[in-house]
Amino acid sequence: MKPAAKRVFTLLALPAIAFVLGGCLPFLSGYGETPVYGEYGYVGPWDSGRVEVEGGYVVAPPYTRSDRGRRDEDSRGREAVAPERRAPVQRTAPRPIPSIPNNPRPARQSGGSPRR
Amino acid sequence: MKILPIAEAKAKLSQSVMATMTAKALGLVLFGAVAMAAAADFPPLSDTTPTGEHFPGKFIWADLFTADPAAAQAFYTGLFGWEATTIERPTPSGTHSYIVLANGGEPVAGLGVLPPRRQDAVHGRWVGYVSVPDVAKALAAATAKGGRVLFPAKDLPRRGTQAIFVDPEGAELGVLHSSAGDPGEYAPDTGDWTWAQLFARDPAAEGRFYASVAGLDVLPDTRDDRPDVFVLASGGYSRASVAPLPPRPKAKPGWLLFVRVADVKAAAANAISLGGRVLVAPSDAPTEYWRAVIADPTGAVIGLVQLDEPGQPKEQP
Repeated sequence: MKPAAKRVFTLLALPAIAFVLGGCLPFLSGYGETPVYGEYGYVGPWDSGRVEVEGGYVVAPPYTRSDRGRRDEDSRGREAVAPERRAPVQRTAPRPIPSIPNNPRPARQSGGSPRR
Repeated sequence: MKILPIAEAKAKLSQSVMATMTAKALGLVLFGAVAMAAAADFPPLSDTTPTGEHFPGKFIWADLFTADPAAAQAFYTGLFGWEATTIERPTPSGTHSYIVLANGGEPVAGLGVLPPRRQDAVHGRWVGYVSVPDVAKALAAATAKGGRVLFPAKDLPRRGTQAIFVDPEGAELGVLHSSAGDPGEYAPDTGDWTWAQLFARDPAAEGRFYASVAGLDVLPDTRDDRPDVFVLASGGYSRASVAPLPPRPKAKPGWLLFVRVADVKAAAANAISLGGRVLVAPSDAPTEYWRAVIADPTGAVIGLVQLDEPGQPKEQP
């Protein structure tokens, strides 16, 4: 085969190979559609590779025990102070990280399995 | 009037009785089918303690998409004590099973079944859902900021309107406006969703994305000297964190959802005995005792979190 013909063949073949491989990708990698709730439709496609977390920095949930009572006292205290006597707001200070929800839960109404 | 022979009369009577019984039986079957169809609806999110309120930005539901729902069901009911109820949904090609998992009677998650052709190729995947006031607006914000819709907004009876999208880095998340109200703002009990973390290439940019989609505030995590770690908050509570991807060549951005357990070490050991794998082991280090990350038998990754320090009596909610 002449070099020029070989070059043309290569130029034509590469996109064809890429097209074929691209078409197979959904089946090879798991891309595709996922049914959701039967007749309600499908999800997808998405990258179904596993989420890798090993070696990553895992952030702890900020959790402080229930402070419902303390919050109420704090808010009453703030209201009692006249506006002009309140401390100036520190705009540049970072906002504190609030807790995750920490209000006491009422007893669940139905049984279920014993708590683990 | 024609007088029938006794045998023929008996036969006719028998046929008539049979026809009546058949009709009654058919009626019962139809009634049963209607009753089953009604019972096959999705349970409201706040089934046992309805709130009627919405808490935008709160993670209120999660679905596990898995090719092996039986294995997943056995794993999670064994690990967290969740109770499972199967709902059969009709499809053009038959039925599709959806399993509702409840914690102490309160629905917390669902198991959706992947199609058979994908069973060998796909890891199970947990997808969390965040409460939003308007699903359509959330999707519009997501697509305007570089996201892509995976599951368009749909109204599901008794549950509400929900959708799933991928963010600009490819992490999947759902948005949901519940029809009966969101689960209350209570301290998580064991077996409840407690925390979520997004591993992202650009945590700051991803934080801004979720601020525009779900109305979450992006706060620098002041607890540690990590300028690349953020906390997403709403309604006065922290909801999730955003942190950099692990330094691994094939690491993919994604959400990791955490369930509260009483004892992380015991739960991780239990996960192994149930066929799972431990990806991030619990540690005795004072800053790391609280967490472990595991993969269930179908490969889906989930976090375990312990809120009580070792030796500390468990808080009674």
